[in-house]
Formats: sequence, C-alpha cells, structure tokens
Amino acid sequence: MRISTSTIYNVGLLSIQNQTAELLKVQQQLATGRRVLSPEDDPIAASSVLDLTQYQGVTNQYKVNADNAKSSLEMEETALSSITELIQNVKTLAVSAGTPSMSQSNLASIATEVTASYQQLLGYANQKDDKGQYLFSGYKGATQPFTQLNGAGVYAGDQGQRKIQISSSRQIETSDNGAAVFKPGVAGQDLFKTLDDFATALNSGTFSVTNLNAALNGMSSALDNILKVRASVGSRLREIDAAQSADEELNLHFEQAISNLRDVDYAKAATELTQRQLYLEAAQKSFLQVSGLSLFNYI
Amino acid sequence: MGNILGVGVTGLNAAQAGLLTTEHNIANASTPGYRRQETIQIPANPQLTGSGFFGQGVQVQNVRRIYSDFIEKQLLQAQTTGSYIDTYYGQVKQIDNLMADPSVGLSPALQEFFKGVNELASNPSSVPVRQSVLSTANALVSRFGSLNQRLTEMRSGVNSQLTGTVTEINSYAAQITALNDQISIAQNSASGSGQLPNDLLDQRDHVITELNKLVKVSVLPQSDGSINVFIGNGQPLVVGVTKFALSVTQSNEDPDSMVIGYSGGEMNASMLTGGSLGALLEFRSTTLDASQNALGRIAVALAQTVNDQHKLGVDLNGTLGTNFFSLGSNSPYVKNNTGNGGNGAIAASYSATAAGALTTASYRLTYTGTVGAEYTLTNLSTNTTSTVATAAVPTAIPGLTLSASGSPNPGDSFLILPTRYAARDLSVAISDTSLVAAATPISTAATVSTNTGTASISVGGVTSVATLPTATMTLTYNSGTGNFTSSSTQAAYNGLTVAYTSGNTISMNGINFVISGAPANGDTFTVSPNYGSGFTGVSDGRNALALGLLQTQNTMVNNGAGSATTTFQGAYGQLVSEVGNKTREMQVRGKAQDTLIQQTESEQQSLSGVNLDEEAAKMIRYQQAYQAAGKAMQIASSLFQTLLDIGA
Repeated sequence: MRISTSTIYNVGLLSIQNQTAELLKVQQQLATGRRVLSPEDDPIAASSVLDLTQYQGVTNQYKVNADNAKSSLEMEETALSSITELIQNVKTLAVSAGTPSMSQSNLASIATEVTASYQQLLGYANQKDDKGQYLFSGYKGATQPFTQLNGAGVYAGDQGQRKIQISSSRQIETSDNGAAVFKPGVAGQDLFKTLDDFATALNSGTFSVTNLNAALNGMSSALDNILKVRASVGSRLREIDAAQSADEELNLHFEQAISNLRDVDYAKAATELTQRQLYLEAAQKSFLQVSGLSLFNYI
Repeated sequence: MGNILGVGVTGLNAAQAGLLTTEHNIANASTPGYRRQETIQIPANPQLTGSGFFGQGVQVQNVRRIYSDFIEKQLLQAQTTGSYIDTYYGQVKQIDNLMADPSVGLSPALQEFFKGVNELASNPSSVPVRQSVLSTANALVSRFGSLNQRLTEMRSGVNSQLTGTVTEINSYAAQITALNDQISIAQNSASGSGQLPNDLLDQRDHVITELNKLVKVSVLPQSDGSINVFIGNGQPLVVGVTKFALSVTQSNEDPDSMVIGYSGGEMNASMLTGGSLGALLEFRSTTLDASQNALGRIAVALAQTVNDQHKLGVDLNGTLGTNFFSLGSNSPYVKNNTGNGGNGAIAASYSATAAGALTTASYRLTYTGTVGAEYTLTNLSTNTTSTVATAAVPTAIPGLTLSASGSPNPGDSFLILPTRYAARDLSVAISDTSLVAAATPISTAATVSTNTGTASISVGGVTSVATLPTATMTLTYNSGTGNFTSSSTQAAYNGLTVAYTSGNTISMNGINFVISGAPANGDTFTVSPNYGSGFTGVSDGRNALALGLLQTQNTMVNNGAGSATTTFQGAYGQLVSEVGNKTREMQVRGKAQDTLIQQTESEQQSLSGVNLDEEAAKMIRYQQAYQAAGKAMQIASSLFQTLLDIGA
C-alpha cells in the first residue's frame, strides 16, 4: 500500500495527541481524587451523586433538627423534674401537717412554705427555653402562660404542640402545653388550685382531715399527670437518640455510595498513569524513528 | 543521423518533464488539498520506411493529477459529519462543565434554602432565623439567575458564531465563483486538447472541503469545467460565476435568536443539516433551549409550590401569607410573530397544577382558520405538530392556561415559551422578616376543664384559606348518636354534623384536624382562628414544617396518570444527566468519526498524497533517463564526427 508522507506525520501526531489526552485525564483524576470529572464521564453516576448529596444534606438537616428538638425536650424535662420534686416536698409537708400534735403556728409556718412552693411552681410553669420562648405556652411562645387569679392558675397559652421534623416521616413533638401539664381549671387536678387551697386551709385555723385529703389527692393526681408527661418526654428523647444514630449510619452509607460513584480508585489510576506514560513514550519514540527515514538521506 | 539526435532530444525533454513534475510534487508535499501529479509518457508516432516502422522517441502526453471522485466524496461526507459533531460537542461541553462543579450547580443553594426553612420550623419566632430564610432564598434565586446567565451567554455565543460562520461561507462561495471563472477560461484556451488545470482544480476542491465543514454541500460539475454548489435541500449557493449570499438576521419568531436568511426569507434550521452551521442551529434548538427551559421549569415549580403553601400560613403579624417568590411578567412568555397580519393575541398564565404538568418544550401556535381545527400547535423540541380547535386552546399546552383574543389571519403564529425566562426573573417577593408565614391559621383545643372522656384533638392544618373560621367553633359530642355537632357564630361552621370515628381526619371548609380516643357525652373541642390582630401564635411552626417538606416531596414531572414523579433536586439531576448523556454521546460519536475521517483521509492520501521516498526514486529514475538520452546524443555526435573525419 502507498503511504503518503503527510499520512506518516498526521497519524504519528494524532496518536501522540490521543495518548497525551488520555494521560492528562488520568493525571486530573489522580489530582482531584475524582473519577467523574464532569457529568459527561458518567452521566448516571453524576446525577446519582447529586441525588445522594441531597439525601445526605437532608439527613444532616434532620440531625440538626433532632439536636434542636433534644435541647427543647431536655429543658422541659428539667422543669418537669423540678416540679416533681416540688410536689413531693409539698406532699411531705402535708403529711407532717396531718400529725395530730400540730399547733396552729406550726401549720402557719407550713403554710408559708406551701405559698413559697406555689410561687416556685409559677416560676417553673412560666420558664423560658434557650430561645426565649415560654416552655409551656403552646404556640403562644411569647405569651406568659400562667398568671394567678384567686389562687387558681389561669392559662393564657393555647393547646398547640410544637413539632420538629427529625426524619422524612416523623415530626416529633418538642413541647407540651400548660393545659395538659398543669390542668388549670380542672376540678381536683389543678395543681395551682390544690396548693393555694392547701395554704389557705392551713392558715384558716380550721384545718381538717378533709382539707388534708383534698390536698394529698390533688397532689397525687397532679404528680401522676406530671409523671405521665415526663414518661412521654423521655420516650421522645429516646426516639430522637435512635433517629440520630440511624441518621449517622445513613450518612456513612451515603458517603460511601457517593465515594463509590464519584471517587477514583487510586491503585487503578496510578497503574493506568504508568501505562499511559509508557504508551505516550512509545508513540513519541516510534514517531521520531519512522519520520527520520527518508531516501533523501542517501542521495 | 538527424533522427538519432532527435530521438535523444525527446528523451531529454521527457526526463525534464518528469523531473519538473517530481519537483512540483516535492514542493507541494505538505500543501493542503494538493493531489500528486504525474507525467504520462507515450512513444512518439513511428516513421514508416521500407524497412518498417522506426520509433521516433518519446512524447509527454499529459500531466494528470491522481484523483478518485469516489474517495473524495466519502471524505467530504465524513468531514461534514465530523465538523458537526466537533462543534456540537464544543457547545454542549460548556453546559456540561457548568453543571459539573457541585459548588456552582443548583443543588447546594436548594439545600441551603430548605435548611433555612427547617430552622424556621424549629424556631419560628426568631428574627435571625427568619432572616436566614430570606437570605438563603435570595441566594437560591441568584444561583438560578447565574446559571441562566451562563446559558444566555451561550445563546449569544451561538448567535455570534452563526455570524462568523455565515461570513466564512459567503467568502468561500466568492472564492469558488472566482475559481470557476479561472478554470473555465483555462479549460477553454486548452480546448480540444483535453488538458486540465490540475492545480486550479485542487484549489477549488480544497475550498469546497473547507466550505463543506461549515455546511453540508452538494456539488454538480458543469461541462465548461465550473461547478454549481447547493446547500440545504437544493438551495443554490454558487451557480457558475454567480453566488447567492447567506445572511444572519433577527428571527421573526424568537427575539433571542438569530437565524440564517437566504434571498429575503428565513432558512429553516431543519434545512441546514451537517457541518458546524447545522450543529450550532441544532444545539440551540434542542440542548440549549431544553436546558434553559428545564432550569426555568424548576424555578416555576419551586415558586408555585412554595407560594401555594406560604399562602396557607400566617406571618408574625397575624396576616395570611402572601407570595414568597415572584416569577415576573415574562413567565410564561408569548410573542407574536412580527410577520403576523391579523390582530390576534394569545394570553398565557400558569395553571394551578403547573409545577407538575409543565414540560421543557417551547411551542408555536399557528392559526390556520380551518373550521374545527383553527390552530396547529408545534412542539419545537420534538418538532411534532397537532391540531387544536378554538375550544381546546386554553388547555393545549400542559401547565398553561391560554386564551385567544382578536382575529388572527391564517398563517399568523405565536411563540409560547412556558419557562424560558423563569430562572432569569425569579425573585423573592418579601423582604420583611415578619412576613414569613410560619404559622397555621387555626388552633384547636380540648375543653380540659369539663371534658370527662379521654379523647384528644390534633393541632390541625389547612388546605384552603377561602373560608377560615372567624370565630371559635365548638364541637360537642353526643354519645347517643355517635356524632359531633358544631356550633359557631359563623354560618359556615354552625350546625355541621360529623360521625365520629377515632383517628379519622375531619375536614370542613378547607380546615382539617383529627380527634382520637374515647369522648364522653357532652365533651367539647374547639377550633379557633389563629390569625388576625392580636395574633400571639409566634411559636407555631406548622406551616414552616409543611414548607420544609416540599424539599423531599415529589412535585414535578407528572407521569401519564398526572402524579408528580420527582423533587426539585430530582428535576435538576435529570437536567444534568441529560446534558451529560448528550455530551457523552457527542464525545463517543466524535471519537468514532475521527477514526473514520482518519481512515478515509489515509485512503485518499494513499492514492493522491505525495510520498517523498517515491519522488526521490522518481528523481533518480528521471536523472538516469536524462543521462542515458544525453549519452545517446553524444554517440550520435561522435558518429557525425566519424563522417567529418573521412572528409579530412
């Protein structure tokens, strides 16, 4: 077959160019650590990586959300545990008030303690969280939930329950409203009224077993209710922990999947780099040798 | 004796002609488009004598160029396709690169925006958090804008490349007419001898090769040696010594695009296939338009779904939410063709289900006047056409509501771009942090002080704000009938009866809530307005939660059954993968085409190219032929000397 001289040059040059391009690509892959340099290299992997990155972003967001939910619930749990302690203290006071040898002055000093507890309770019920919102006012986070009217608690919040998205299918409740926790206005269950009535009875001079039983029953049912809310808070906190560790696992999985799709296999790429180098050198050397051959060298 | 000298001279001449041609080949070894030439020697006419025919030496009959029409045509075909692919690849690669960088694409901005919304749901009353929702929304909007800007720049790049290409085509056409002229003159002056001006032919063939890389041409040779050149489907570019210039003009239809003008009219893109001109037009009408439309479609879907949800919410002032995003007045966009004769007009707006229903196509609606099929609708990305009766015009394009007015003339057309400018024009409609609607306009409550049963009511939600409660509605349970009955000072919420099933969603007038558990007879639940003056529900993040869910909800790209199949991110991923696939396709085709071109070129060169070794061998041969002929003449001369010596 006839070969024209320009073909020898063109083919030689083209193969050198192709080898250089391949070499450069492997070099770029090694330098960036990525197998897919642009979507063109692997369109399916490129769009999967985008999707996975969004899932990863969303999962990270759920983790942040869960942290927020946790901090709200932990604040609530702290308040509820203080209230539990407070009720137990007042119950102890009530039991001692029931001792037959109690004088009126003893009862009056117990009444002072009960009144102090009442104020303390009001403080807990009106506690704010780290974001400056009242813990127990439902959606009305800027409205002080409890005021006192004739001893009974008056609730100014609503029955809204704040929620935070902690997984794609779960919005966790991060607050409990004051109506559900303190039962204001509910006969026999209103903790404020129970304490106020108790203090009034202690000061009345006619403190009786009936008063004592009303106080003890009221506090028991209030305590039961608070403990119920605390159990619910506790289970929500556990759920958040579980969701967070699931998120962490998911994140690892996403990272792995993204890396598998996008990142370069260094061992393979390094081998390829050596190989491509060899090919390029061979193309260059052979081009020099072939193009140096000419009959004109001999005439 | 004289004959002997004469034969020698013919030998010298033939060897000189051979050397001349060989030197010409060597000199042009690297001239583009040059085909090697060779001399054709034949024996001179013999002289009849009594002793028979005596040869009279050699004569050079012809200098011919080595040329195969068949291979040249193959090469032209391979080259026009090759240059089409190269040009297309060069363009689409730019979009591919644009989307390659994860920090430049849409995804991170989308993620940040929804991060802001999620934080709002966790902390609805915080001003800094509200500010971050607005800031991330603005960042998202500007990301849409900058991506779109790059695509717009590419569109104007295509426009200016079209101008350059057309200038080049016209210049080649002029060169061909000049060469046609020279060749026919040269051929005429050599009339009858059958000799061809090889080098002029090479020059003209080379110009055609270059022209053919820009636009696919067909060539028809004429008897006088000139050629006629046609482009598209038979439009003449060169006829003999006359050229028909192409021009670049503003499209009558699409104000953003330049089109190819030819003898007063527009040349349809589908006529100009192959070559870089064909690639530029094809790239613009398929990949570029579709990419810009796809980006715009995400902007429309985002704006519509976020706005719809935002308007179900209540802001910090207690006012119902307004539009969160704005799409401007050019989305959707309708333009009358400047050639329209009638006064017909088309108005377009997005339908309520546009987010899922919109396609990435651009459309042309043409009035035909045919009764019962007054319009034809052309989908410009697929180039498919359907007929549309006037009554069907409003719903002719998925995701749009159209209305026709005025009286168009038959042939009048309207360009309808549902989403092209949406990414460019998207903006955040609110700037006051208090106007972000994080709350939901109803609140529910169980009457804990009097209820004796264990039933509870959910916080509730709304799907429409058309008939919100304006006063508290009380639902009272009757254990005898198992029904709840409502009472309210508002007629729409008074006297409604709902059969109670624990856990079922109760919906009325676009509000909904769930009562579950065991209510006792006479237990009451209330649903109250959570909006208006004196609004205090600042920690209510229900609407923000619903907004946040839009990120992972399928809101776009409806299937045949009308349900959305993907998220905002998914739709962007689709765009990236479509562009990636197209780029890959062009890259793979380009590699294959390069190989084909190289093979055909080698074949052409194998026949017509100069091989220097071969020319060196020929030089030696002709040199020896020259020396031999000279030697023969020397002998003839010495013979003559012998005779002279006799006389001395």
